[in-house]
Amino acid sequence: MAQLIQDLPQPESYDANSSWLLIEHDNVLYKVQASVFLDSYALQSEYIDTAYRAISFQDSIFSFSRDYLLSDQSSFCLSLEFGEKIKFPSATLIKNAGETNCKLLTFEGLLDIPIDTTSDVLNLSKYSTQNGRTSNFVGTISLSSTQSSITIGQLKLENVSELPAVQSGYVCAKIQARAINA
Amino acid sequence: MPDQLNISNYPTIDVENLNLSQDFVLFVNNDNPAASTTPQALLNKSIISKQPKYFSRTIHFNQEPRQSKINFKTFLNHENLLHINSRFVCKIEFIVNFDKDYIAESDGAAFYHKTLLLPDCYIYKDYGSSNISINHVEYSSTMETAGSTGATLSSIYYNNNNYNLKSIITTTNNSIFFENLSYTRNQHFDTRINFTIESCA
Repeated sequence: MAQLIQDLPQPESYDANSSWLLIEHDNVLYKVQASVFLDSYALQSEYIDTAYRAISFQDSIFSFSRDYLLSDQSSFCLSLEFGEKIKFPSATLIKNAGETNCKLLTFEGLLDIPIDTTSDVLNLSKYSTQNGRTSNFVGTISLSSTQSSITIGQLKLENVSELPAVQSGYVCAKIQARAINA
Repeated sequence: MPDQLNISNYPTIDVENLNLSQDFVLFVNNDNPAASTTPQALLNKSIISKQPKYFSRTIHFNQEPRQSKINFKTFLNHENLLHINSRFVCKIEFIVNFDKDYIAESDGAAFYHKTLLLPDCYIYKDYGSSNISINHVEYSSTMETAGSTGATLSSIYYNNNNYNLKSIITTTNNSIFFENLSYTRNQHFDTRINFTIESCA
């Protein structure tokens, strides 16, 4: 079986969505459906809820989905960047092959989020000013292996009303993933 | 055009038997054979088969005001992280909280904010290279693996001075050590440093 591989053609472009991984294991070739992708979202909001001193996002839920995204052998790195007029600390969610937990790195440190759970509302980013205002980007993270998706929910920028200059908030999210059905 | 490879009768493998660190992996695109892995690339099959792994590390670096000497160290460790046939990208984010007592209006609008992000730093190494590169918005440098060098990781302009965040970087086959991590001038800096590493070791 191994000689077959030597007949593979020259690549010009690689379309991960219609490709397979071939794995030589104990001198036998196996096929594994796989995809490799980089995707991104950008959300911006100008809706200020003065009663709750918060900026809510009209699309307060967004998802990354791809077949096998949370399968055992898949891996990904999801980065979330936040800001109003200034950039906030970013949050990073990662999963490695063979792991059943994802790790979330924020300004506060590291947190484990098990697959097939939804987190509580988390502080995803934070910024402080000298006058004592501390603004937080908050949201939940859901990891669904059955839906092959990562969902950021209940996204909100809290505690901003003291600063009239704050009129909007934004979130940029991007994911680099290798999703494998072995 | 080469013949299309027919893999329709190939078996599938159970996940528990898969070991991407040892098994030989290549891509096949049946819809577009020209997009499949090259025979030439197969010569480097150890590279093709490498699955990216992601790591995070965070440290909190809080120094007393005007301490005369700062000597803080941390390290990143992963098997074969700096091996000649490994690749990695490390993003380092610096988050500084200034103590109000050390901020003056003359420091400018940026210091209305207690939290400040310094420019990110990227450290990376490519397959087949024995050098690692250290880059941020103002500086870039390179060093050989298994060596040691002083490097500027980021900088901040504050109180009419440039403060450079510097470190002595030393590497082994598995680790990057950051020693004497400090700002160039003595001040109060409450800094969190977050590392995110993608490694194909």
